[in-house]
Amino acid sequence: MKKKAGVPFYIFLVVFVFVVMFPFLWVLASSIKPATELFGDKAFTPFTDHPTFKNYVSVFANHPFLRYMWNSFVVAFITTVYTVFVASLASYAIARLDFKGKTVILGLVLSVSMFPQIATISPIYIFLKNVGLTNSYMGLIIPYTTFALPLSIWILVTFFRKIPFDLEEAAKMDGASLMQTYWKVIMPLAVPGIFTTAILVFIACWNEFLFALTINTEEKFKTVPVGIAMFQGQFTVPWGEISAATIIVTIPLVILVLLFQRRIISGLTSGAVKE
Amino acid sequence: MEPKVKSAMQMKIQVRKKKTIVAKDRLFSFLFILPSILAIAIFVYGFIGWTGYVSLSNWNSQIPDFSFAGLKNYVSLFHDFRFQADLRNTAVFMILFIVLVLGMGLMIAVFLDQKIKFENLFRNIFFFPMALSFIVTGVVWQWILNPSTGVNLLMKKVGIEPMWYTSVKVIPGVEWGKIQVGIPIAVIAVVIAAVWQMTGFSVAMYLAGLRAIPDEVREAARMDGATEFQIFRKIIFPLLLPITISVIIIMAHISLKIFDLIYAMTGPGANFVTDVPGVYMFETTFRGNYYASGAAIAIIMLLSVAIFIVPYLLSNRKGES
Repeated sequence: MKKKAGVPFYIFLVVFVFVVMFPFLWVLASSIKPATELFGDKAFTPFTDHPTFKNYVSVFANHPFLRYMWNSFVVAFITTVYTVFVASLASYAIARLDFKGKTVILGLVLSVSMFPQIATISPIYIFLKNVGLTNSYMGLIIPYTTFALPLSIWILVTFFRKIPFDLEEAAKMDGASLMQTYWKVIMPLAVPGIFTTAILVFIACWNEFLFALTINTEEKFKTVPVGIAMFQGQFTVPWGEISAATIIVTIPLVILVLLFQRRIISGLTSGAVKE
Repeated sequence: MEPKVKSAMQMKIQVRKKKTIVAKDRLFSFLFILPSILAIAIFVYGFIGWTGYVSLSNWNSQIPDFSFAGLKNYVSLFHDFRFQADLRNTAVFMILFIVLVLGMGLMIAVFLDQKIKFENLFRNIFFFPMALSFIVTGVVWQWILNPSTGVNLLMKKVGIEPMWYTSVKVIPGVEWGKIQVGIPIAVIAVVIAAVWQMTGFSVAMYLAGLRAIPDEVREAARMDGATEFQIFRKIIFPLLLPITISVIIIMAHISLKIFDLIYAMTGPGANFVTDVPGVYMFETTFRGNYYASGAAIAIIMLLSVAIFIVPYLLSNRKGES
């Protein structure tokens, strides 16, 4: 029996929660303040007397922020669908079928997920420039695959290993082919794992910065992280707009985390925590 | 006689069937893996090889020049003020970041493990910064720690006014090589932002680890008269060791390749107090066209990450088979 937590525990926790939430709350408060209250004495008033949505309007009116969001969404979505499909096939083969050199292949694939992307950035940039794919969606989807694929395989192999082996044996006994076994028996059981992987890949692509900064330099093809980083002008920093933009991109992620927290955590900790 | 012959023939057919199934399995597994292998072989290993090749060349202008330069680019990097500063900053960042993420993560996980109310809510709150991008974290903390507009306005009233990331002080700042060795104040500001973002990960890992330890283990120790602190130090902590190692490896590789956070929050900083190899590589290659130097930085980063992950992955493999 564990002891029940007492009052000091909760005080301690609430303090921690405040520390974690502070940046978010502060940005939220700033995003609805008029520009004059962002600095000086009023910078720390939690509630402004003159709330305004001007900053939110300005983010969309004076910057192509909707365009950035659409770009991020398209790139992240296509990469996710394509990568998770390719990775699920590979992970199934790695988890279930025996062939020579399996450990070596797995090791080479998995270590890629921790490699610094910066080691491939200049050849990828030169390659994409030569084939005319800089400033396009494909120009980001191709490099994103290089980190999304190993990440997906890493998570999916763990999920496939958990599916009981007997089920496939039974299907095979009944004369099902490997493809049939895969589509009719394994896939339905692997859906939660595939879904988890898709969320993690999507978040990783949505947040990616280095490739997006280097490859898509035209305003028309910039993604959200690049857009936010570039808000800071040469001389002025429009903090009100930056706060509003930060809140806009944070809210979808907060919702994702709230809805799928368990799945995201199980995906992230899979492989590292043995059960 | 007849039935026997039949069964022998049937067996033969069955064996043949089994063989074709095995062969088919092989073919399919090959086809299943091929797209992934090809993509990774070309776009990762192939391009890393290319980067390695360029790092040994004389290509330090806009015009490609693949003539062999030996280790010239590497040698000049280690004599470079900026790169020496990068190495110091990365080492300081990595140590502070790992220690804080581990310490805070373990502490919060132990608290959350006390069967508290609203555990799910608390978990969500601690976890959500992890879903943000380093860019958002960097921009937000740049503002919070801005000496002229941020929390310093509050701290001023108490009489302390840290310069955060605008400080060029290095403590203790012993001269060594071209740089001052020590802890740059500015790096601490970046560490705070990174710890804020990543602690949720170690909380999740430790919590999963704590939940995997059966209650009976604690019970048995308690029966033997161990205090709560003894139980934690002698039993729980050693059981969490594999998780601690995983978190260290993951945080170490994040610190070694960090780019986004620095780029968004501080940039290289005055005297390169917050510069890191990633930012240096990016600016050298894409702003200065020093492709060979940039490639050399990238290869050094790759090797430093490999020092951590290769032994880790090898030992993990061993544990599985």
